[in-house]
Amino acid sequence: MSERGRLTAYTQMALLNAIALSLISVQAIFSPTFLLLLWIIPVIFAIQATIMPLRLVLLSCLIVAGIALLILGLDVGATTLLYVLTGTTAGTLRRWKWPAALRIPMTALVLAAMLAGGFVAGLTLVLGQSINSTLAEAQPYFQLIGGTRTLLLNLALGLAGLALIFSVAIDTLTSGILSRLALRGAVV
Amino acid sequence: MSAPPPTLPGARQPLPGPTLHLAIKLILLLAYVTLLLLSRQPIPLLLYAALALLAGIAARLPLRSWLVPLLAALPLVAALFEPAGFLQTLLLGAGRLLCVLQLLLIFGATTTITEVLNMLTLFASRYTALSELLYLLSSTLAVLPSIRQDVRKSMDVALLRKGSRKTLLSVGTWASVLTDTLVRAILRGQRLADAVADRGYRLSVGLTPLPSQRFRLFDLFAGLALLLPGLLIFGVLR
Repeated sequence: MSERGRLTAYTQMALLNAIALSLISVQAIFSPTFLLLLWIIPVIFAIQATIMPLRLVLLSCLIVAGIALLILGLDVGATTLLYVLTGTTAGTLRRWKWPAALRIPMTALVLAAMLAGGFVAGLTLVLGQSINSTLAEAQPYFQLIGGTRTLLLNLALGLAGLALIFSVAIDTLTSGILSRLALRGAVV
Repeated sequence: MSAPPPTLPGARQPLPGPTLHLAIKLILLLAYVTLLLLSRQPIPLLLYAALALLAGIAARLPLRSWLVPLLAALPLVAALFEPAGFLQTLLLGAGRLLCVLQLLLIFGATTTITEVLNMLTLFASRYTALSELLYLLSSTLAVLPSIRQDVRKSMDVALLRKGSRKTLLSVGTWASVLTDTLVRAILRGQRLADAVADRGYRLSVGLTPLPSQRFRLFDLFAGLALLLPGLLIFGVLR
C-alpha cells in the first residue's frame, strides 16, 4: 500500500474512531445506552474491516479498546471489546465476500457467545464464586419457573434471538453505508 | 519577552487570561471525571455540580439557561427517591452526564487542539516508530470536536425530510443519521488526507515538534488547589 493510501486510511480511521469514542463515552455515564449502541458501534468497525487493510484495522481496534479500558473503566472496556469483535467479524466476513445468509448467523454466533461469556464472567466476578455454585444455590428459585433446563433453554433461545436481530441490524446498516459510499465513489 | 507559540491555521484561540499547563488540565479532567463516576450519592453530586458551575464561571464560559437548573435539580430530585432505586440511579446518571459535559466544555474552551498536538509531537520526536500511532491519535483528537457538528447537521436533514420533531423517536431516523454521519466522515477523511499529503506531510517522517508551554511551579500548586475540593467531597461525603 502506498504512503498516500496509508495516510488516507489512517485519517478515515481517525474520524470513525472519534465517532465511536464519543458514543462509547455516553455509555460510560449512562449504561442503558448499551442496548442502542450494540447495533450502532459495531457498524463503525465493520466498515473499517471491509474497506481498510486488516493490519491497520487491528491497530485502530487496539487504540479504541485501550482508550476505553484505560479511561472509561473495566465495564465499558469489556463492552467495547464486544463491539470491536462483533464489528470486525461482520466486516471481515463481508470482505471475504461471504453471502448474507452465512454472514449474519456467524456474526450472531460471535455476539451470542460473547454476551453469554460476559454474563458468566460478570456473574462470577460480582458474586465472587463460580457459575456452578451460583446455579446450585439458585436451584429452589429455578424450580418455581420450570427447572434449570427450561430456564437455560429459554435463556439460550432469547440470547440467540437477540443476537440474530442485532446482527441483521448491523448487516443492513453496514450494507446501506457501503452502498452510499460506492455511489459517491469513495469505495470500489 | 518570549514570542507566543505558533498555532495551526484556523485553529480556535484560547480564552484570554492565565492558563494552566495542559498536563495539569488533563490530570484535573481525568481526576474529576473519575470522582464523578465513583460518586453514587445525591449530595456529593450536588457539590460537584456546584464546583463545575463555579469552574465554568471562572473560565468565563457563558451560562447555559437549561444546564444550570438541570445540574442543580437532578441531584436534589434524586435525593427524594429513598431508598435508592431505579429512578434515583437514572436521575443520578443524568446528573453525572451533565457534570461531565460541563467539565468537557470547560476543558474545550480553555484548550486548543494546537496545545494537545504540541504535547503529542514531543513524544513522536523521541520515538519515531510511534509516528503512525501518534498520527492516528492526534487526528482522532483533532476531529473529535467536529463530530457533534456532523451529527447535528445529519439530524437537521432528517428533521427537514420528515418535517416533525417526533421523527427523532424512530429507529429509522437514527439509522439515517448514523449513515449520513459515517458517510460524511469517510468522505471528509479522504479530503483531509489529500490536503495533509499535499501540504508535505509524510508518515515516515512524522509530525514536526512545535515549541510547547513551559511547566511552572504555579501550575503544580494551582492544580493541587483545584483538585483539593473534589478530593475533600469524595473523602468526607462518599
